[in-house]
Amino acid sequence: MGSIAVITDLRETRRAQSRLLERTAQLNSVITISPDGIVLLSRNDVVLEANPAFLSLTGLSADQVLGSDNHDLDQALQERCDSTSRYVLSSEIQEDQTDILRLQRPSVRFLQRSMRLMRGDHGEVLGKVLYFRDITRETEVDRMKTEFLSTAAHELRTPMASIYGFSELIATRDFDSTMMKNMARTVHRQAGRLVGILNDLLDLTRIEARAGKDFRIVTQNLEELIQTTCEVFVPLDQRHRLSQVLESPLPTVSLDGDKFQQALGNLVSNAFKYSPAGGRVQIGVNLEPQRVGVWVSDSGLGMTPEQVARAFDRFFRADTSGKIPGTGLGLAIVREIVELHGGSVDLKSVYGHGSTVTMWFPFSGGA
Amino acid sequence: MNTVLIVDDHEDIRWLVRLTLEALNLEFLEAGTGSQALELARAHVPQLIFLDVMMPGTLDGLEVCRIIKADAVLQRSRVVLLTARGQQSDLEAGTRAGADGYLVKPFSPAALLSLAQSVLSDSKTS
Repeated sequence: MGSIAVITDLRETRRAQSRLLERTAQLNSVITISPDGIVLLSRNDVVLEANPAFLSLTGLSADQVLGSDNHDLDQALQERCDSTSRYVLSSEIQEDQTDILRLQRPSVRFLQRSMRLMRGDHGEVLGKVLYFRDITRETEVDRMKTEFLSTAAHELRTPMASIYGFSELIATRDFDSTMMKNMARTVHRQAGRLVGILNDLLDLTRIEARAGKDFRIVTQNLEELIQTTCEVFVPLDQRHRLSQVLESPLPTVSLDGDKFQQALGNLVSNAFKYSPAGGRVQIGVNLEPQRVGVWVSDSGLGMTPEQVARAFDRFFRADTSGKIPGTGLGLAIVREIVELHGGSVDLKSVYGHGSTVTMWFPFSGGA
Repeated sequence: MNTVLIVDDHEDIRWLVRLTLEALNLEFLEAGTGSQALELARAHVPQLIFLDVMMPGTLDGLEVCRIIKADAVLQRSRVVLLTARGQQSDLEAGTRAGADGYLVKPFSPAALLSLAQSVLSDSKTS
């Protein structure tokens, strides 16, 4: 073998070195700031690098991961996963595949895992990159959409059963005119319910899109608003369960009357719906110098702190059994309406004992 | 006379079922909750029970169905579930609970009538 003459231009090498350093620094910062977890493994499956996102998603420390091999890494990941779903070893993942890890620890997360081989100039394998994308939020949004659709479908089917059934009977059988009228009335009433559900669905989107620009804020008599709402939203045979804690005379307030009634109506219907055992429902007003609070309180099912935290999320239902009718939009509509008035909503709930929701509206104290 | 128990928390639906079957010369019982349904079922042991799946209260239709089908006396009653949930998994849950039939809301009264007729003539021969 002959000797190779190497002509070294010192300045060229220095320049190349500094370009290399610069490039490395750039790549390092990309890896460091990436919201997705990235793990680099050497050709013989030793962990060379794990970025901060990976460590925070998995709750692992750099010490635990760096220098360990893929078996240790798999074991650490598998320990954090939901034990009911099968864990695929990272060595078994192919380049064009992705799978989803359901992490239970350090918190419930869904990570989409994929793998890329790192190759040199001649296609030789230099190592691999494991890539973890946090899809917790989109998974949750998907789940809520599915749940919402199935709830909405159920809610639409119930009035549909009356409309479909009675109209078929009317079309195929003979009834006397009184009976006919009663059946037609039922069809009509149930069609009204159907429309109500659809309106609920559309309301939220509309209120949100208009951002309060179509609100007609005028001076209103608060007591009258509350009384009308109770008359509209509380069925006659349930009135005895409702009691009012109102200091009279109540002040006048600046509000959009229709929107206020819609919000209060939602709270009142919820209070009755979520007290299936038939407990009392109270409605009251708190006056403060800068704000006025209108509250509705029930002694019904109540919610856990976890449920309270999500109660205003759209499509969220405290009752997932589908036994209590609703679209999961009621409280979302309430909050939207109150916040567009410049106010805020408060929810206090004790599981098994009931809930109190207060709508706070800005108030200048004038009567 | 055959006895039919109609269980649904919506009065309109109970009326619809009653009206659909009125030509069959049946005795009708009605319940709006699961526990009421069980009480009436125990007292009368009806030939046929139309049972809504989702009802407010502690006992849903599937639970009521399971209790009926686990009871030595009551299990003779034929149970047809009425439900607003028509997905495969819902139908399977009904079968697991021991239901004899399934009608998804909205249902055709004509279909309900012929189902009732066939169940009632079956229970006579068996």
